[in-house]
Amino acid sequence: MKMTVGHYLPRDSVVHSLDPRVKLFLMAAGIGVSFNLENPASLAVFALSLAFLTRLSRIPAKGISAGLAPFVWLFAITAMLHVFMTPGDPLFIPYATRQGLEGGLRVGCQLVMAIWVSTLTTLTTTPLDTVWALEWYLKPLKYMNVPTDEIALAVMLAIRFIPLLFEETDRVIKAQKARGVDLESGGPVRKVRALIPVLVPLLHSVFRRADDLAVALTLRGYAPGITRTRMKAMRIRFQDMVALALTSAFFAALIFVVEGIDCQEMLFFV
Amino acid sequence: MTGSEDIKTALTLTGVTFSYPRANALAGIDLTVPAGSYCGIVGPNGSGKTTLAFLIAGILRPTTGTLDTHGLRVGLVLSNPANQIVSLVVEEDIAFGPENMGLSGPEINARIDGALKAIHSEHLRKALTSTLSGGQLAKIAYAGQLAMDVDILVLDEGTVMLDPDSRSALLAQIRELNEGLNKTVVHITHRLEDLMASDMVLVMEEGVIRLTATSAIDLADRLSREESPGIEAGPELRYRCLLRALGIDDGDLRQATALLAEHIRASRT
Repeated sequence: MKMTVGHYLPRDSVVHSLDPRVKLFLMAAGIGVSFNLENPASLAVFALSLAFLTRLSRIPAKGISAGLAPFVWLFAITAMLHVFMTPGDPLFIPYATRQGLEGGLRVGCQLVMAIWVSTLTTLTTTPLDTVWALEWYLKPLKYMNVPTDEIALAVMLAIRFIPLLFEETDRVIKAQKARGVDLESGGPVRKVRALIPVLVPLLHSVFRRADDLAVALTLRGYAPGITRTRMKAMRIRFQDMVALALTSAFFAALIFVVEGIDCQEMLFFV
Repeated sequence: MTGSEDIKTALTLTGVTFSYPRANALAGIDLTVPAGSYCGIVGPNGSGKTTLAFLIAGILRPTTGTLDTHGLRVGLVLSNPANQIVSLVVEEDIAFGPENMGLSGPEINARIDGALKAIHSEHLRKALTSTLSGGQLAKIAYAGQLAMDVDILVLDEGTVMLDPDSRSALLAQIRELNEGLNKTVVHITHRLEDLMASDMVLVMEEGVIRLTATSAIDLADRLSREESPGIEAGPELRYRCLLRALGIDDGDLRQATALLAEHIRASRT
């Protein structure tokens, strides 16, 4: 399975150049907004705005679709659950209701929007920038002795090594199949037992990689608790302020004007 | 250079031993590596080469004996460069070391430029590490060390995962780093042919230095006379040894081959 998480696409665009803290904040807000849109018109406007942002960031449509593809099953299951579990006017399919169909489509669209927002953020923000932004947001926890720097580095390394682990798993499965290991036939217990010849070499490889990585980190001068500097200075610029103001205004207009949600309801949601 | 400019010795090991909980890896190493030299180390598996590399790089400490790097900064490149890359973007990966050193943003950028220039890979600055070939990843691993301004570069099988073309290109660049930037190179390998640029070649066996030669050809010549397990001289080195044995200068192989042909013709008549 190919995951788009962490697949940064370098482009020379205004979205790429925005401060990662602003992008992370807007991503969180965008996901929140997408789950609050009930009206088809507001969902359509939100989708159009995302399409505009995708175009502005020079990300090809297939980049976004690659991010959405692994979640198709989630959209399908969620929509189906709504279709068959929501009480209402019956449709021509047994147990399906009109209200369920509407709800399923709405929730499916909300999920697509939410994942579109997060995919767009990861495609336009380098993992290191994301980690720095995350670290900045976690700063208050430092005063509670939470090792935020170490957490941030662990996140960065996970982003870097998760695709490698997928590749490694694929390689081990192929190697074991070539040796005649049968991973497909038999009942669930047999299938789980058949995974042992995959898991053992995989764990061995993971530990070897982790060992190499620990050596590499030491060689690059990393030690827990050191004060690190940064190649790019993180500074909120005028364009970040504009992006923040415009996007916040857009989100507010969608929520309070098009959707008609009042402040009390929104506060309850938050 | 982090030490004083007039340093003549980069590395001094005196009676260095190292033991893992269940095995002795090094049983007494005495070694002096001059600054700016290219030192090759060959030996079979389990002879203690990687342990020696880790000791020189400061990852491990000797059990007994002393190891002095004379205040010079040591970098190490392992056999699988993919495991040493920590970021998804080349410039961010190279910046990781200088950022840990607490350098300023402009200084870090200058280091990245310098390191990429040294390995002729300026065009890869914004590239994703996931899209690079094995050879390019190896170069980025070297750049990551160069950005930290290392004086001694230790390569532990640093070319083992590369195809022949990438390997020879990388070896040429390591030679450039050694000759052009005066970096001391300690190159550990199984392939004696990779050490053509070496000023000294050591053979390790069972945790000790068994043989010391002045060059890869010198060692290949000695190996042709005595058996040494785990060391492969390779066809090119054996050919050069043959040329030298016949008194033919092997500096230019094409010219030397023509002379050899002449030599064979003359011996037939």
